[in-house]
Amino acid sequence: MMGIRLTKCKKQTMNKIEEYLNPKYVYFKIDENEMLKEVDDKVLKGEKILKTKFDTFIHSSVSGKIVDIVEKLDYQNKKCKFLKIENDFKEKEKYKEQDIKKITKDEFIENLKNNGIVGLGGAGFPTYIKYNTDEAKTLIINAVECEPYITADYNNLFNHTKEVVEALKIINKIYKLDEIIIAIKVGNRLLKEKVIPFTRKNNNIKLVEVPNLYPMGWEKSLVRYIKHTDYKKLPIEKNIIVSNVSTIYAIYESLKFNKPLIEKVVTLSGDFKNSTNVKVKIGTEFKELKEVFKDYNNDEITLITGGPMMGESVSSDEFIISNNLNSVIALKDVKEEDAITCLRCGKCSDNCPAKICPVLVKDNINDKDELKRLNVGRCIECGICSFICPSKINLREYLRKAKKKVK
Amino acid sequence: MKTILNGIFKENPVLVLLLGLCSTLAVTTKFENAYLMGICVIIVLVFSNITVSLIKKIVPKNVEVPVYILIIATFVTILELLLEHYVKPLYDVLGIYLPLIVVNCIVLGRALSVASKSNIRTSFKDAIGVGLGYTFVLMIIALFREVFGNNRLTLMSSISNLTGYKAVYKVFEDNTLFPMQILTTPAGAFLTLGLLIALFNFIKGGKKRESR
Amino acid sequence: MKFNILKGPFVKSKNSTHKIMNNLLIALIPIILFSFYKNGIVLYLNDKTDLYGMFYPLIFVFIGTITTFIVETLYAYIFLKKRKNELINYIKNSFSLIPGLFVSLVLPLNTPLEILVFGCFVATIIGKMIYGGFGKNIFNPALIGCLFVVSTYSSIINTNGGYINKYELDTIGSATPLTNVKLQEGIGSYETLVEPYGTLEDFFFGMVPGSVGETCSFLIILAFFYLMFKRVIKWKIPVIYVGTVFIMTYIIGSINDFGIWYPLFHILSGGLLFGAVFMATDPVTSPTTSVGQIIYALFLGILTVLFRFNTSAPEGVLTSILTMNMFVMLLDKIGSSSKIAIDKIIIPLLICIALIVGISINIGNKYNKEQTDTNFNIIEKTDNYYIATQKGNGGPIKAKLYITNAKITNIEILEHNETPSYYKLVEDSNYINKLINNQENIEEVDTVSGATISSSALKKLVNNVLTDMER
Repeated sequence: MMGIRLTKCKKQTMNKIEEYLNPKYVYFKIDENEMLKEVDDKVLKGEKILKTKFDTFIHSSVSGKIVDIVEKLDYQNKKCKFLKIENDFKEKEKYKEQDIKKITKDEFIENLKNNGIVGLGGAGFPTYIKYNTDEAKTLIINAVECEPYITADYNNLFNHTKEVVEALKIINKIYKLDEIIIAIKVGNRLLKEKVIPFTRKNNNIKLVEVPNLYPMGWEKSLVRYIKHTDYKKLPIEKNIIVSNVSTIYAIYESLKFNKPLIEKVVTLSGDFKNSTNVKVKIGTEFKELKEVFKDYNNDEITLITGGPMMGESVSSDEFIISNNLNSVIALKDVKEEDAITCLRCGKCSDNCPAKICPVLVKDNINDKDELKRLNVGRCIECGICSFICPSKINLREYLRKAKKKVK
Repeated sequence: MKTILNGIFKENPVLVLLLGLCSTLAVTTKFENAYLMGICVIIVLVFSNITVSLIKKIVPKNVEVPVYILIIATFVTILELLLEHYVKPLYDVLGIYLPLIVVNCIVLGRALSVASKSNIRTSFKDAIGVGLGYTFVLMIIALFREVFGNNRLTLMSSISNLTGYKAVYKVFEDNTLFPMQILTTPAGAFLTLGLLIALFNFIKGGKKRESR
Repeated sequence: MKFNILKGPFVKSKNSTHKIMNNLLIALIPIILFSFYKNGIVLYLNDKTDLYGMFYPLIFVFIGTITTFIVETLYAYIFLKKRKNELINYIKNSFSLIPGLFVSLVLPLNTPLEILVFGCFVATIIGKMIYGGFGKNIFNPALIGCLFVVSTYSSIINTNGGYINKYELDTIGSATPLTNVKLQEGIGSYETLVEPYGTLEDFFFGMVPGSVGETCSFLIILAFFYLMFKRVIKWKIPVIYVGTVFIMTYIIGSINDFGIWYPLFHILSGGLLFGAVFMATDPVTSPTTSVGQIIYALFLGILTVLFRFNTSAPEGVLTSILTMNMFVMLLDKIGSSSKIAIDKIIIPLLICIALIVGISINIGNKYNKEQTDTNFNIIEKTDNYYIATQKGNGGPIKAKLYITNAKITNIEILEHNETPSYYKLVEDSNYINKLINNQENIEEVDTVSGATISSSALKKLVNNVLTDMER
């Protein structure tokens, strides 16, 4: 019930990291955000250009000029309006180093809010809201990265262990936590050897190895495995905060250099001629990264954003990398298999981490009361039901339809 | 003519409206019982439909059902008494199912839905149609059940004292497969009825497709 | 450069329904080969049959399997109006071989071939197609076909030989182990239940009468572990089902002072292991949720024991599986709501436990009492005599039986209420002396004609006293 085993496919990109920090243009989604700058305004690198509905900010990742508002594809294949900024390659910065030894909780929250730090595990939830609490006793750092192909978090933790630990020490001092747990996947000998020295010096930081199962990186799974407890909506109910390790690194840069969130590490893996991790400026168009991954291995390819299990495919390579995209995967032999009649084997119900019975949801897809009783709202769309079905039925689509109906 | 055909095919009481199933299952063990029961039901249907159609204007809406049942019960009792005196073997063979014609949903159903809303001519034709539909279905089921379940075909046996004619035939040689005892049991009756309804729907469905 | 749009997830697993069915067939091959050996080769080697008879078990299984395939294809062609490519696609995905295979494995080998074909026909049409085809049926199709055949044609099959093949007819007798249980008065004993067929090892390795699939327990258990290793079976169902039957028959046996052989006998005889591993775990007709499977298996065990002991039919497995198939939807509802709130499982579990304990104690006591004849009562017992009563025609007959050296030497009737004329017949034929002289083989003494009940009562009296003396 803890999960299923997937082939890791991580060897291609495990220890590779490159940089592409000179995009010609960067784009920022307008959506419901408030524009703080107009077209034809000049911007500096790190300057606030949009204000979100959560009262946090989005910053320009390059210096240059806002040239236009255009319609582009976002990474979820939707056409949206974007602010187009032309890079003048002058990299005029707006932030510098500061002393972070003594920082109060309010200053910490204000810093996170100002620098637009959001959760980099894929959800993009504003970090300052998550940390705006008095009841935290445990902090769990999620470095599990359970989806195949992706190695961005691994890279961040491996290359910046000292910085991550320094940020953790600050957070520990501010919140007076009982323990900090870094969770990594079992079997990563090199990573374990890198992190263990830091856990020996400070007693509060522990390293826990979790089984190599999907979706072990899900918040609830981690809390269940490490703390043996369950919560209804948010982990803070049980005095736990769960944060992604890349977010902690971004917090470090935000506290130490007052640097806003303008760069991130993205994994490019699969059927690229050169699979690697690449550090990019947020807002880069993916097509520009052809310099990094060189080319595709086939004329027909499926581009997947958001992970091979939970992500979806995009219709062109001209989409924008935003702050919650962790990976772009190219696969050449993806076939849609025909579904046959349900065998009623029950594998979907046995393996669902959210304790739903997808086969019963499929049977009662038109009955709203029954769907409410089956608790379809708990579905996290992890995709295990569609993966494991022997009849190749795409159960996740039924769950999505059911969730829409119940709303 | 159209009303009569309607009662046999489109609104067949047993296969489409699914009424009167109790007597269908119980009476179809012998072919002879089936058609005799059918004749009794036709007689009762005709008389009750005509009578209901005659008095439909003077019966208030809220006492409809008891009044119609009274009428039907009257005719069934008359039939019963006549049969008991003149054709005793038939009366014995039909047993409890003769008085049960009173609550046979076909009779009351047609009285309420057709006879109370149409003139005498339509009611009469409808009674004949529905009754014939019921009889034919009963005859088909009884034929199947008796031939394959008992290896025997009874065309006339219990009323032979009236007509002076007896006809009981053995259909084929005994072999391992037939006769199937299960068809003479209630389980076999349900199975036959169910399969017949399925077949009927399949044929009707086929006709619908071709007419497009 | 073309970018395809497809729906995720983009990682594919290697399992498929076809693989599951193939594994099932692989698991069945040793069992079929064993039956070929026991019902074909052994007969041929003992000159009981010819070459055709030797291969007959394989032919039997083959005909059953191929019939359902043909029937389903014809049905798809005629009623579902599928043609060419659609038809081929339909056949590939409908797994029509499986019900026929199971029908031929459960029906006795002496079934005439036309009845087997008819049973497979019924299994396909009434068991599967009328519900909408594969995956939509409520009842196990193979069991529907078997039920039809067994309830309609059992007399013909029995005259053909029933479950016994020609070799066993000479060496063992004319009853399968479970029919033998029904022939016992009361609950039987090791000598009457197991010994006519050999030892318990013979039951385990399958050299007892039975249908094609059910005798070799060893190969069935191997098949279970193979299927569990390949993760294609709902393993909770056979484990809990067989476990429940074991526990219940153990309680029944221990109330009657039987050892561990009694529950083992019940598990290894009849189609229990085969039914538990292959028929109850049929994925389409069993619950999908874990908790639903547990309750399903518990009730299967309860029903099987109830049917085996309380009805005249020797087998309980077929009807209990068909009965529980009706409740699968309800069990799935319980299963899905207990995933969210675990306390919803408490009430069904308590009901099951209560039924298990209550029914087994009840059956055990019922048989325990029947062994001691309630019509027989010992009033006084010493080393030299017994004073006992036995129910006769008009009331209890009270007698004093004198014992010397563990043998009855004299019987004195103290009181009786028998009709005088009948009793005179008993006296005139010197019946009491006959009983005393033949007390070694008391079973073979005939009753007095014309006064059967009275003389039978006297015979039972002497027999019960002798039984009591042996204890």
